[in-house]
Amino acid sequence: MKATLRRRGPLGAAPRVLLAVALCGALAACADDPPPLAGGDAERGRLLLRQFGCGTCHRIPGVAAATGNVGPPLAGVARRVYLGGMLPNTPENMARWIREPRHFDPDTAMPDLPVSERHARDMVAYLQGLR
Amino acid sequence: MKRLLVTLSVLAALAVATAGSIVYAGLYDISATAQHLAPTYRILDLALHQAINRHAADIVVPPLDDPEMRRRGLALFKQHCVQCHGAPGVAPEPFALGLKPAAANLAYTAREWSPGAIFWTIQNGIKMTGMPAWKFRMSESDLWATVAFVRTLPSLTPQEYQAQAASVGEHGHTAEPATARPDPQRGRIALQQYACVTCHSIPGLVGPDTPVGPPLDGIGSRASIAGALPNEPGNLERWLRHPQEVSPHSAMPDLGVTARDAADMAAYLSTR
Repeated sequence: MKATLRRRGPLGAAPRVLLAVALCGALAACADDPPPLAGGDAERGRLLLRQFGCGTCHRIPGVAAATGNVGPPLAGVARRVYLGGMLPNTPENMARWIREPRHFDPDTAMPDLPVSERHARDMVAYLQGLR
Repeated sequence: MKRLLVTLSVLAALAVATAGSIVYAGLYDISATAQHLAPTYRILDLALHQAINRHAADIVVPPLDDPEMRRRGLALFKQHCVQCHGAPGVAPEPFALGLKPAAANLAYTAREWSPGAIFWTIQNGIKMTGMPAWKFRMSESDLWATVAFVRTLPSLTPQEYQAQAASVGEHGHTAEPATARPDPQRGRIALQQYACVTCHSIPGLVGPDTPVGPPLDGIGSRASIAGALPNEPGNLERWLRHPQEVSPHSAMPDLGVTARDAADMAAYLSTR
């Protein structure tokens, strides 16, 4: 794991690219991509998120008709520190949260849906790409 | 003429590119152990004094010579100021010695600054220094009491300070009364002053891009708060004030939000 502080925000992509070209030697380290996730199929996950109706409660980029505003929007969810405001956001925890949120928070409005482990893995593969 | 303009434009572009490169390559030393260049320091210091004088110009100063008020001010000073600023014969706490800029010795400040300037600075803080704003932590009467005590610092010997400080206890905060009507613009500032942006992105607030919790855009129309509470009037305030009462395992801490501040924050968020 490289100890690089990632900075996103006010600098959009264009000045970044220009500066990176100007300083390409020194800045090669900035081009790191998120690591691919083992086990899940992101494209299947995207379809499953639609099939399970996640979009009725969450806004999810790239998922058709996912415009709900019952729970929090999932844009950038891969970079969020906590899931459900309490669970450290690892791929394993995300899969568990998707399958049985009420195991972690009995009061959550998010229902336990009949999501299989494999389905959850696929959904996680897609959601962990939302950075 | 044309040639001159072209030359100037090229130079300006080069200057911008150089500055950009220095910033982006991480060459600007942001460590607290690196001092500013002398001209940089002078300009920042001038900007600070000019801005404080400008903001303090219209402040009406109440009488500050009531001994009881000064005693209350000393209690507040002991609780909130001495840790960084020290006092006559008292050093700041070790952590505060590492601040850049180091907190001012207030005996000098008290002699040179107007009471209004001291009041405004305590109330509003100074950006990019360790000086916080106390606006959301202290009532106006507490702020003035602190000013009243600070004003006496230059006349106190270390022994006198020690004796006075030993004779006062803790001072409870006097909360600002809730206003009849929540003020969303005040709520926007309160959201910054409770450091909400360190975990949430909030529309209309500039802050770091560090999503610890969910973004708050659309929170006004979101059906549930924290995935648990229906978003009904009063519930957002309740969540803001006591998140762990609503959800005991929540990573969101109890920040000691007052009723007034929670109402104002909720008023701002409900429009987003």
